[in-house]
Amino acid sequence: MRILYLITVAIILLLGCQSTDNRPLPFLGQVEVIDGDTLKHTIPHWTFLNQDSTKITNTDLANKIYISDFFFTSCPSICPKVMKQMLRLHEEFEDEEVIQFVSFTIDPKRDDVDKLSLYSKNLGVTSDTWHFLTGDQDSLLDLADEYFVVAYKDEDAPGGFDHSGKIILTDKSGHVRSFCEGTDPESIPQFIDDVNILIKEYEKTDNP
Amino acid sequence: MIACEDNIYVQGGRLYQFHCESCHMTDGSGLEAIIPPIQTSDYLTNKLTELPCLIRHGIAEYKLDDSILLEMPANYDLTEYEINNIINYLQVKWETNHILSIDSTKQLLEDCPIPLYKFEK
Repeated sequence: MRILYLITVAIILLLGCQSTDNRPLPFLGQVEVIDGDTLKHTIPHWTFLNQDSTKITNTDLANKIYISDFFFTSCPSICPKVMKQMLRLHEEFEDEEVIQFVSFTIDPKRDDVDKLSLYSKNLGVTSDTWHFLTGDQDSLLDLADEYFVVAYKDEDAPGGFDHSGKIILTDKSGHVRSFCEGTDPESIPQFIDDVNILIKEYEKTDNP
Repeated sequence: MIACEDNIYVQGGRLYQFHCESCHMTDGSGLEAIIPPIQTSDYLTNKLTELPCLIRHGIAEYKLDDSILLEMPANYDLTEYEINNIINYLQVKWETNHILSIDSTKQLLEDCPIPLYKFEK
């Protein structure tokens, strides 16, 4: 009798124990209700130049799940560490065509297309999988807000800018679905899980 | 059993953490071709005599129009003792074991080639 009871409990626990791959990903940000429609936070339209001098807009990313960060090449503080984690993620997802990487510079004055071209070459990546974007200073700093990344000019900060090292996950519709702290390597595995959940979400709807 | 410090250059280790780690990383692996790794660096072995000056003055690569392409910032706030300590900490950490005496470091720092650029805040 006792054994039957234990087996039942075990079965219930196993059934209740969902693998992390099944939990749904949230939509981050404030929702707006307009005319009775609930609108999730969506990244507004942007246009910038990448390291090949090609104009890139977020419409070009409509079929991609993209992973992004905000940085600048002369950053002596957190950027190298965040880039290291971005590289790690890049390696992790190198066989996933749906994943694109996007790094926005917040210092376009120093980070022109040539600089970004050199930087990305030295990092060992191409725009096929990783865009490095530059453009109008104010647009870039304002855009950081949309991705919930703090970034602003600060003369007293190392490099002249203060910004967070968040790495952001955005889906095909421009909704932010997850993030992690690029300065903390331990926050990466959970983020990798989230990316995989999102990939599977699309696979299910694209191939019902 | 009380564990011994596995690196006796403790101050060097802390200085590395404070001044070098954010770029060269905690494990000294650097960042691809942007930030060279330390663990396999020539500067710990056959280029060791260039290392004190490198730490003090940094190094820069320029574009044709004199604008900076890639750079390692200078460290003018480090004393000769601190530079010496960092170098020896690395020698022990990466087991290259070419310990520099403080006199050697001082001597080498006196004869640094003119810095490639001035550190600008």
